[in-house]
Order: sequence, then structure tokens, then C-alpha cells
Amino acid sequence: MLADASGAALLGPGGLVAVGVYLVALVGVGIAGRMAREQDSLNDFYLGGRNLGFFVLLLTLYATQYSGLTFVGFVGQSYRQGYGFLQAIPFTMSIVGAYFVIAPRLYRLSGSRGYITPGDFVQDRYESSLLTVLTTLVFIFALASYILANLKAMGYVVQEATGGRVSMAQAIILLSLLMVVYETLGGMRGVAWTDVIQGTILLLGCVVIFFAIAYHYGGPSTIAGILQTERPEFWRPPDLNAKCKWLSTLVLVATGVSIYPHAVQRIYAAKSRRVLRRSLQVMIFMPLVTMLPMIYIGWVGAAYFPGLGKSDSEKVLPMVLNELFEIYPVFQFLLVLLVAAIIAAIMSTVDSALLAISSLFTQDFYRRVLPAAPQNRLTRVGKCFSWVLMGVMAYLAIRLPQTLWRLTEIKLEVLCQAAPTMFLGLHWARVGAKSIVAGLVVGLIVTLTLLFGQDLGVSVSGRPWGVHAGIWALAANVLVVWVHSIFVSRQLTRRSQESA
Amino acid sequence: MKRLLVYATLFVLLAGTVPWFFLAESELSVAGLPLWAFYSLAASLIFSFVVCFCLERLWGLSDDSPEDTTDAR
Repeated sequence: MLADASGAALLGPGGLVAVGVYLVALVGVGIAGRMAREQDSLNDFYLGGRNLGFFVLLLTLYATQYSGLTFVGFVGQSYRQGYGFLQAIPFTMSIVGAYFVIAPRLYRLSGSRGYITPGDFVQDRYESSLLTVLTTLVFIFALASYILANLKAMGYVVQEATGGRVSMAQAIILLSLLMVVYETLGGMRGVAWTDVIQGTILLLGCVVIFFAIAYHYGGPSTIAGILQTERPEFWRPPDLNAKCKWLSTLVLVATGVSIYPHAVQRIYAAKSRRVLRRSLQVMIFMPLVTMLPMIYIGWVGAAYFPGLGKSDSEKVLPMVLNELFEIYPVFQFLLVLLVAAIIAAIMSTVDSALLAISSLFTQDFYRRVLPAAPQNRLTRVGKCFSWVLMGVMAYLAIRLPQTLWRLTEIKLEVLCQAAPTMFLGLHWARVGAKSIVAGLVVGLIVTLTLLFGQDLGVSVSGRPWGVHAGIWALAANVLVVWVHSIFVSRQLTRRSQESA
Repeated sequence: MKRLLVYATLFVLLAGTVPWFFLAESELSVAGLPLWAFYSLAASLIFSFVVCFCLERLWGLSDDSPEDTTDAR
């Protein structure tokens, strides 16, 4: 995935030491987070005492949203798809658009009603344990898939970057251990503070690597001139099927990613409304300094390293950097920066998801069974759960059979079925728990039927007319909620007229 | 009603980042990008500025409570 074309290690002894120092520093940040603890409570552990300022909130939102995929998968995708992959910019911006719909009210309610998890909102709004459990199970499935996929990617990155000196299994175990240590030490505060370091490295990595590459290979006009001859198909606008897929992905990302529990908890954790608003206002422009440089590097690869297959195209970034390094040895630090940035991007995503899943277990399951449990015991349970969960996730990342990996690829399509619970619950006073449960169940059935129907002998396409299964299912979900709500409301009106 | 109108406008702007009306290949390029790609990038920028404006001025609309003057929760 990441070694250069010859398969040699990207990091020399000096680079390994630099990355090692960075990783050890993360534990130090976790310890600092523990020392800053104000009380032994769920509020303090999972939301940092709802006291994240602008700088920390912005960087934790940023580092959590961008994963290692930005550097590896997206560059390769841009190499293969060309200008069409510019769609990744509005995808990422659409998440902040969705935050505008849900964040203002969620933020206010979380403070006045003391929410810790998205499940708290669901229970408070609908007063239905069935719906809370169902929604929380959907969240846990999505988060666990997210952690698994990122742990596996992290293992590959380290194995390739060290030329096999550190195996994938060793890397997964070592870095999982590191993450669970600073997460249980510092909770949200520790994770958010490490995100500040990780977000800074990620941002620096994107910007510095972009300028170094543009300096050597030329700007967009130079690259366009080469691509017009080498890859004329890049100049063709997408066909109707691709346009439908583009719109479908926009809706999928906006409705799915915006309700990830770790994202919702960052809304809860903002110090003030102003801090949250400012952070989101900056976040919407971050794709321009993160995604756009990586997309551009994909185009540079397509212009200067044509003919690579799918797997080799994902090595474009290290290939380009290695060539730069041969010409300008001073750029060697870029390779270290790249590896550190990829590891930082993945770790910041995994640690946030781990903390969120631990809070879902503690607050939405354990506390519901033992409501009288004291706060210090709840945080202890959450920490123990994090260790057990990380152990299981690391084991599965190393051992999970390939056939089961398919489940991890459908996380967003499943997660967006919980979107009506949040979006409609916040803005449609008349909608009730039964309507949302009916919609959620129908949405999940449609998603799984479309995605796995062919395996069961049903003749269905996984993506009819280019639209994702999850979006067809979301449409069915919302339709059921709407029809059911109107039916229930008419029944209530009739009953009240009869009793009058 | 105003809230629905604002959300619908945002959705239309987001859907407008897809280059729906570009059907045939053209050699015309702007800032080193094919015209349709430049259109999509420009439409994304417009969407981002509008969302930024909404976050600044229409926060209370999404909260459905009158804008108060304090920042405290």
C-alpha cells in the first residue's frame, strides 16, 4: 500500500525514531488529560466537561473526520477517476451542511438535558427503550466497522512503511495498546488533545506535500496539458449514471457521517455556542486544504506515472515523494511527515470511535440496567469496556475472514437509516417512536435486501440507476415514517372527536 | 416554513455541485480544469459560503428558539 515502487521501506532509522517519539508523546498527552480531570464523572470523561475551546474543538473535529483514506485511498481514486473525483470536495462539505440542520438544537438540548450520547437524545425525545436500543445497535455496528477497517489500514501502512520490519499484526497490537492507554487515561480530553497534535500533522502534511509536489511537477494548467493528451477520458463529463451516483453519495455522506456518535459528542462537548459555530464555519473550508491537495496529487500521478493498476495507483503518493527525494534529498523529511500524517489520521479516527462506543455501552446499556450506579463506577466500567473492545477489535482486524469484511463496507448505508431518528426527531414535533421504529426496520430490511439479495438468489441490483442501496432504503424509511405518522395522527384526531 | 425553505435551498445548492447540464466533452478549460470540473468546484465554494452564512446568521432558525444574546448554554 505504501512502500515505494521497488518495495523498499519508506522510513530509515531516523524516520522510525521520529515516528516513535511522536507516538510516545501521545501517551504524555493522555497523562496530561488525566491530570486536567475536574471530576470522576461520565460528563468529564466522555465530553471533557463540555469545555472544549475553539482551537481544540476545530482540530478534533478535523482530525476525526479525515482518516488514512485521505492519503491512500483518495489519491488512488483521483488517479483512476481524474477530474470526476472532485466530487469528494462537496461530499465532505455536505457533512457541515448537515451539522447546520442538527447541531444548533442538539447543542442546546445536550446542555439543558445533560446528554452524554446520541442515545440520550433518542430516549429523551421519543421515550422508547426499543427505539433507543435499536438506534444504539446501529451506531455500534457502524463504529465497530469503522474501527476495524481503520485498524487494518493502520497495520498495512506501518508494515509497508517499515519494509516489513514491523509486521501488520505487531503494528495493530502496538498502536491499539497505545490508543487504549491514552484514551482510558484522558477520556475525551486526552483524545481531543492528541487530536490537536494529529490534526496539526495531518494539515501540515497535506499542505507541505502539496506545495513540494506543485513546485516540482507544475501547477494545474501544466498537469491539465499532459492529461489532455495522456488521459483524454478525464475531460469527459460524468454520464447520467455517474451523476446519479454522485448525488446519492452526497446524501449518503451528509446523512450518515453527520450522525456518527463521536461527531455528535463533539457537538455536545463544545464550550459555547460561539465556539461550535466558529469551528463549523472553519470546518466547511477544510476540504480545500486537505482533499483538494490529495486529489491534485492523484492527477499528477496520472500525468507522470501512467498505466498503474488499482493496487499500484494507491502507491502514487509515496512514488511521487520518492522521486522528489531522489532529486532533492532535502525533501526526505516529507516521507517521515507522510507516514506520521497517515498514522495520525487513522489513530485520531479510531480513538474517537473507541471512546464513543465505550460511552454507548456505559450510558445506553449498563446505566439503563443499573440506574443507581455511581459516576466513578460508570467511568471505571467504560474504561474496562474500552480495553476489552480494543482487544476484540485488534484480534478481528488481524483474523477476520475476508468474507466478513464486506459487512464493514456497508456501515454508512446502515448508519444513514438512523438519520430520520435524529433529523426528524429534532425538527418534526408530531413524529413518534412507533413511526420511527417502523421506518428504521423497513430501511434496514431494504438496505440488506438490495446489498445481499443476490447472495440469497434474489435478482436485485446493489445500486439501481447508480443510487446506493442505503439511499433507496432511506427513501423507503422516510416514506414509512411519514405515512405512519399521518395515519396515527388521523386516528388520534378521530378518537378525540369521538370522545368529545 | 422559513426553515424548510432554507434547508431546501441548501439541498438544491448541494445537488447543484453535480455537473448535470454538461453533457458533451469540451476542450475548454478554466484555471487548468475542464469547464464542468471548474463549475463543480465553484458550485462547492458557493455551497460552503452559504452554509457559513447560515451558521452565522440563521443558527436560531435551526434551533427554533429566539436568538438570545448570551453564548452560555
